[in-house]
Amino acid sequence: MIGAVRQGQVEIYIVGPNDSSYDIAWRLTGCTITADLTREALAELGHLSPYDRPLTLPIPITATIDTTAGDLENWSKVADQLSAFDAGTLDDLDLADLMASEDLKLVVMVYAQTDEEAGGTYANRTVMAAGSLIGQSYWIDGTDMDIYAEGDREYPLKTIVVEHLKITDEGATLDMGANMTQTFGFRSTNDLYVVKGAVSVGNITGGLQIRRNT
Amino acid sequence: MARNRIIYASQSVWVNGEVLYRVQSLGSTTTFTSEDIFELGHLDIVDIVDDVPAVAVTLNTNDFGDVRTLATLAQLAPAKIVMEATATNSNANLAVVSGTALTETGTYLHGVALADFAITCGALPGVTLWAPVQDECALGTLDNLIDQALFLDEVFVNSLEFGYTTGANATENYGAETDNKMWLLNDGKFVNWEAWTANSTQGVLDGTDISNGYVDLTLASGTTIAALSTNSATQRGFLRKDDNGAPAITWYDASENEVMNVEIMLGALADVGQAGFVGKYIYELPATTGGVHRIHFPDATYIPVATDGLEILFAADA
Repeated sequence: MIGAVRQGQVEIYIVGPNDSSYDIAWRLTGCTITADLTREALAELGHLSPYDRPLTLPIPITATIDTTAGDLENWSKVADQLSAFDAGTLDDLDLADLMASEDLKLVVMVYAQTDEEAGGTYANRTVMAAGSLIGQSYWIDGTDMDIYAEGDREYPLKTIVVEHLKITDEGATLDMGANMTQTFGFRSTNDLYVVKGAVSVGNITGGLQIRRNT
Repeated sequence: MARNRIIYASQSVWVNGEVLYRVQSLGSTTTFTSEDIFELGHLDIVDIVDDVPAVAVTLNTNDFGDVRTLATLAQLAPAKIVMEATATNSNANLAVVSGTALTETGTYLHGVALADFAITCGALPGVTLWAPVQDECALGTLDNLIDQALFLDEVFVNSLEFGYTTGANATENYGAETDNKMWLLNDGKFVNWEAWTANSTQGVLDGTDISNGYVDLTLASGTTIAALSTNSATQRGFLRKDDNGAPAITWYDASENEVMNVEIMLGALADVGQAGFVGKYIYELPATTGGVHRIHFPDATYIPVATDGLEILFAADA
């Protein structure tokens, strides 16, 4: 029985449109995803109360990411230039780089075990011996994978995907006596999906995306 | 004896028949709007006109890796909310698609999309939320004695937020709005939910139900569906309302993928199709049915067929 999850059970990923693997975003201290489901109260003569409150579309989504500033890896991810950053060939990053990205995805993976219980993060996660996950069902890309056994790789309980992020703000702050912080704010519309289990990166990149089933 | 307090362990939260887990707080705050009417020639107030009350609902939960709360509030179709088998075209709410034409790839996913909150086909426009308060003497037990129940109908979710912060529990918080709120107590304090849907213990309506022309509630003999203060002599405490404000039950028309609230009146088998009962469901008291609470189907319109659904929500003394 999981009552709540803490930082060791949540992994955040900023995924580029052509990424072929998940690369966890480190030094994040907070991530908030908000959807504004504004309703329009429809009134009619004869009824005091509205007869319906349909949802206003498109649905605005905001996402904020708070980090403890270190290297510029997160900047390069938001600029969709991680490969150049990793290769050491990235010489500068400016606001235009952040503004150029319009198809980033924010992915949140929520796990049952902490990273310490699982012996690692993402692909290094395994089901610990005598853990409560043993015997529990798990899902990968919608497929019921039967039940966990000790030593199996652990997959997320659920995966949140927010598509086509557009940056709205960023900020770096260094105060006397405090660590430097780097924040990023994004907006999106409509495309927030909460999926049971794991979603392979190949199902949200390379032209693939999640939508409602007909 | 007066009850002096209510604590977290005493109140649970239900939405459309599903209990919600890891709820940390439930709030419902009403703002009453009224206008004082004056007129030329008089100093004194002439009248006070009420506008519709606005009830703001907050539902704060811990994110514990489950999608059930979100799926319940988004009113996924009964077959798609189960999520207990491999996702297929028939049981999955999400699909992986390709290209600008959104061509399905054949991969299906269980889950919820924001757009589900905009969908009204196959679901009522808002959810029904209630929160029974357990009797104080039953605190810490599995006893289902209830003191009172908070009841909100046609609740529309208007915000959601997922929060992940170091040093704090992950949160999954919702805001909602409605225009009604009711406390049920005494003979109406038990909010009962009985449903014949793909996801209910009763299952969908089957051939026997259809040929019988009725379904029987599981509510025990000797118990009573309350007569609420707004009920006429031919009405009982069925908590959903049709367009005219009359007590109603909810009929899911599978062929049209449409849901509507249909009026239900007190009566008997002989009343089916009679003047005043046409197109209405009829609730027959146990006294004339051999001890069961029976719901007769209408005669002409709104007649369910096999695989349709019924949701019956009522206030009773058990």
